[in-house]
Amino acid sequence: MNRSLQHALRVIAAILILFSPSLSAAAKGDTLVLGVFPYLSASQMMEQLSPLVKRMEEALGKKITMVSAPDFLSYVERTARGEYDLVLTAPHTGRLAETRDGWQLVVQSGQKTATVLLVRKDSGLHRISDLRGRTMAVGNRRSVTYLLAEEALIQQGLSPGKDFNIVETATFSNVVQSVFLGEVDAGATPTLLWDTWQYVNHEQHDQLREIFRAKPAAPSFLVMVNPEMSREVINRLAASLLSYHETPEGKAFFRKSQFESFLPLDEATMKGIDPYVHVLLEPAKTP
Amino acid sequence: MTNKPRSVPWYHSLRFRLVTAAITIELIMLSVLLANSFNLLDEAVKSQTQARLEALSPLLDAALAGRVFQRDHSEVKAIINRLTSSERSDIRYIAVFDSFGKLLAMAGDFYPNSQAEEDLSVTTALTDLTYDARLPLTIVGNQVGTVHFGISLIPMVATQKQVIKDGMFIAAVEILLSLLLLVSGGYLITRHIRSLTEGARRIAQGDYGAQLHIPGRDEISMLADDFNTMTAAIKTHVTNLEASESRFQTIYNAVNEAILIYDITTCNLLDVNQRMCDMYGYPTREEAILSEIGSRCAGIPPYSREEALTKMRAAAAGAPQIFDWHARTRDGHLFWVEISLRLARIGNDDRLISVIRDISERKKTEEEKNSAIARFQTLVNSLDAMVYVADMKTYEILFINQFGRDIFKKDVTGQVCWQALQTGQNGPCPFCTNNRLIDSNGRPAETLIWEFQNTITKEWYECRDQAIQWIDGRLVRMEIAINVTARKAADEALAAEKERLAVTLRSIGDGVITTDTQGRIVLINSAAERLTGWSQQEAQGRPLSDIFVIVNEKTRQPCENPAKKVLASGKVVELANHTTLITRDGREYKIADSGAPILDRNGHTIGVVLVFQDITDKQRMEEKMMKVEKLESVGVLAGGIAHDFNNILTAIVGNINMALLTPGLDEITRKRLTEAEKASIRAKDLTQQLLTFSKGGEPIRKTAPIVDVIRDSANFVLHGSNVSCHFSQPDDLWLVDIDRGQISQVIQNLIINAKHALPDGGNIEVGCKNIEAATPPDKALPGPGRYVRITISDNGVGIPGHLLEKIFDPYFTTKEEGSGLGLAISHAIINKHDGSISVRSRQGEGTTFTIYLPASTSEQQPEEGTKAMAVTRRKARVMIMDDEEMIREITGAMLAMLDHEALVARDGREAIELYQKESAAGRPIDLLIMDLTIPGGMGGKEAAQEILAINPAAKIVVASGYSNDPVMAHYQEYGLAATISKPFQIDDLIDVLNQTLS
Repeated sequence: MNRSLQHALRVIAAILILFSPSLSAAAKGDTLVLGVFPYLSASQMMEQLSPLVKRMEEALGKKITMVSAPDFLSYVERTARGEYDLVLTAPHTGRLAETRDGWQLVVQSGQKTATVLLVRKDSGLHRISDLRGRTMAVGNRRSVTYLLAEEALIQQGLSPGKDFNIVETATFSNVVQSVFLGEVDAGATPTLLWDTWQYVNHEQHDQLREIFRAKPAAPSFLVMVNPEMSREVINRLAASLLSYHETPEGKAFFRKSQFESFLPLDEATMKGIDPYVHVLLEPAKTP
Repeated sequence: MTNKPRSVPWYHSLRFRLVTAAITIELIMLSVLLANSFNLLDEAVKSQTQARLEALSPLLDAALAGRVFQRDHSEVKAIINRLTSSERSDIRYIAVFDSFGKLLAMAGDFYPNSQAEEDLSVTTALTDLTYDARLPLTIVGNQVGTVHFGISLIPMVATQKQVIKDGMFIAAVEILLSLLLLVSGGYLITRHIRSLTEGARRIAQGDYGAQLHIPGRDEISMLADDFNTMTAAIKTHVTNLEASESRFQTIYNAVNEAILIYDITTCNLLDVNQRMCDMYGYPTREEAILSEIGSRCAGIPPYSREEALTKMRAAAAGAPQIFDWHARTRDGHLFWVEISLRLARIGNDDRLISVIRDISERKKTEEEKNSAIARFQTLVNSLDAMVYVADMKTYEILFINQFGRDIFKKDVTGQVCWQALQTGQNGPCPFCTNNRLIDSNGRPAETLIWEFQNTITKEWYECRDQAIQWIDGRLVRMEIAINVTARKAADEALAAEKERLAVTLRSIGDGVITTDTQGRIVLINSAAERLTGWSQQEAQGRPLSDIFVIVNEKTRQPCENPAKKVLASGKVVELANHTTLITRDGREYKIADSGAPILDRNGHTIGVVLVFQDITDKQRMEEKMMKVEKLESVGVLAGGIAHDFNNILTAIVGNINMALLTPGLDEITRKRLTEAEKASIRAKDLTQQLLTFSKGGEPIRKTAPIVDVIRDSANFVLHGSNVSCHFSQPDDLWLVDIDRGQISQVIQNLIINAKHALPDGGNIEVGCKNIEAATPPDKALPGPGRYVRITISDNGVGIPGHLLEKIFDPYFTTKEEGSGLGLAISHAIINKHDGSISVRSRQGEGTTFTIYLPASTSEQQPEEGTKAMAVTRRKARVMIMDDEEMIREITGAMLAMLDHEALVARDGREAIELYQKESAAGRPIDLLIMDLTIPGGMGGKEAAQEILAINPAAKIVVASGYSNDPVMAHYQEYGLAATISKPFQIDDLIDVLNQTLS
């Protein structure tokens, strides 16, 4: 990333934060706003993450309102604008928020993000090379999930937009739906989602088939807080989340969400995410 | 009476009323209809609004919740714009807020600064014709925001107003049309009613011939026809009524009862019939009507004016009164009447009708009848017996006298006899006598007399039951029951007394027979039944001599009839000794009896009682006791003889011993002396047997093989008989510690018994066997261990089962010559040897006696033989104490021969003195041999105790002819060094010296 561009972004972000205090949830008294990056539908998100929100509320002693965003970019923008007090974010959006906007790290999910390529069992598609000339659904082109899929396709000699078409479906849940309904030939979705899909929709799970599974690259999620949050609060939140797996509620949450656990965050892990950040800074591509 | 023509004012006319009523109903119905329409319209507005809300709420929630959660502002704005901007949309505005209340988007007529309050009902919404609603936006139950929206009510309210307007117009038109229709219709309906009115007035004036003619076929024309029909019918009824009135008056005056009609308020007489005038003697009805009520009463309470008025008021109150009354005629004559007073309505007035019948004749008859009944009741109720009458089919009690009512504490007349007079009956009593009171022709049979205990009172009654014809002609049961409980109790007490006497007689162990003065049996008790073999039933009435057959035991001559003897003498008599009663089956009992006369209260002899008892067992026991006493005497004698005999034998044997030890004896002399010694030894054994026979005694045990004892004993007993004995035993049979003499006696007794069981000869099996038992083979044995079992079996006659338990009892024997002591002594001997003896026998098959004796702990029997050469070498000083001089001499000679010094004493006292003297002189005595029994002096046991008190180390040997004396068996317990049995030989003396001095 261009250093001058990064610097400019930081300055803009700082100005936005300074002059938009009303947007910060911290300004709303005892209520904090948790921004979740849009990787699931609103109802699935609410259902899966409500126990986590409750744990955070207990740790921080404040009410937390969970919100999301219509897409990746608006999520990144709102994060930068400080509309959230906390975020449960994708690794590259988190890394960007850390490096560009000064957001502070709390924990990472034990589950590593990886991508599966799905096709219908009756599609006759069995390998990546079969996707030539086909259409592939992705939640968002700026997602790590897509980047991992794209990397695999490029390795097989398939160029996006040239050898296969990309369709964005806003959420990864829609990716699975689109493949099942035959709207697209294939779909790239996180293993996190696909590995629990049989419990979401057994019929769809039975009708679809993986043709590729990428190796885990980075933590699926990062929990971060905005730059104004004190270290004491961060430590309290981190301690609570790191011990969450010891509680019956935590065990149920990790089992259902596939987060596996929460782990401490270190700089090495964050540096490993850097290769995926660039997509967030590039102008939008036309599918 | 004439009615003037009347005109009806218009406001009272039917026509006016009809129209007014119809219009009123019309107005009410239209009002209700309009009100209902308003209400329905209002409800419709509410329900449509509610339905709209319910339809819109989920749509808004579904459309906006996710967008709000994602803060997808543009999409939210686009959605609400579309919803509010549509031409046909009734949504006036939508405003979306986040969960913090911040306005995210709005569309339509929404003013953030003047927001309308939320409407909770359509009523409040009508003020601004907008229903303002609030809706939380939720995702999975979590609120993510709120939406405010308003639904326009203008279209619905406009529709409502239009409906009201149309409804009012239709109502007005309908009222006008109805009014027009009713006025014209009313005229057509009521125009002929006037003619009807006129016709009715004529009828009221008594013109029943008036006819109406109204043409047409409507209801009025039909009413006119019916009116004409009714007029004709009324005319007929009036004619009939007049005829009826005429008949009533005829009857009213012709009936035999006086009829009086009173005013119920004043009780004044309004009318009377002719009969009343005749009955009370009034010349005219008018005079009768004017008569005062009190003048028609007897005036004697209760037949007073006041009472009459009371009854009239009661009847006037609606309670009809019928009663007998003592009335008075106009001229003061009294007579009886029956009056019926009843309220009746005559025309429009309530009247009191009094119907009076003259009952003077009936009254007279009743008085006569009541007098008869009273006499009857006085008679029947005075009886000390219950008298009752019951229907024989229904069991209904028709009559019961006072005595009966007193018994059951109530009047049971009318009740069912088996329910009222008895208890616990579910139907006619099983003891009911009804069937026995009627003969086969259905006529009353003879009076049945029986006794019965009532189930309620538990009292006994003598009942006299008879079927009689009742006053109404039916057959009924009459029972006269006299209480006989007291008599019954006396009878039962007497019977019980008799029963007690009979039981007492039957329970007496002695036989009792009573006879009458003819000597015939009256009573024979159980004991007598058993002894004579005759039962009471069989014996009763028979001559005593048939039943009580007695003979002299020795002469067998019949004895004199004791009953005759008593009757002849009138005194108590006893039978002679040796009287034997011969039973019916020939058995005989030795009896003793006595007879006595039975005297009545006047002292007259009315019979004889004989009391007798079986003295067979008693006599047998007395004989046994005599035998025992004899045996004991013989035993004492035998013991004495044995003692003396042993003393003599001691001298004989000792001298023979000494003679045989004399050197240089020729063979013939030695042989003679040896034979004499053997004979002496046998004589010694004989005395031993005598002693055992006399007293038994403690065994002096020595280890020995039992087989030798058994064989010698059996052979001794069976010698010369036709019974043989077969022995069987193992080679390694264990030794036993026994007193040979006693065990030999046991074996001899058992072999003798076996021999007696084989009168025709046979074989006796004797077996011996080693038994090592973990548990005692016989319960009489002390415990587990090693035993030698001896079995002696014969195949003779056997012992009856019922005698097996008794055979070891002393003096029990089945043999004429037996003492009954053999097996008892055997049992005692085996017990003293810590063994057991038992018997097993089956009659006709044989008997087996089994003896267990403890095996000896020694494996070898002590050596026996000549010990002369083993005499102790030390010279000893030996004192001999014996009252027999010859024993002192021969014992001293033996000791001298054995190179010992002998000192002698005649009794215990002398021995003690000599011992003290020698001890004091420094010449201690090494050994004392003292006779156990010294007649008339201190014996060895007592002397030994004193010497041992002087010198506990003194060595004392006791000698006795009573070898089975307890001191001999247990000498150690007395501090003695050894014993020596008389007669002893020099070898025995050497044994004792070696045992005590070595």
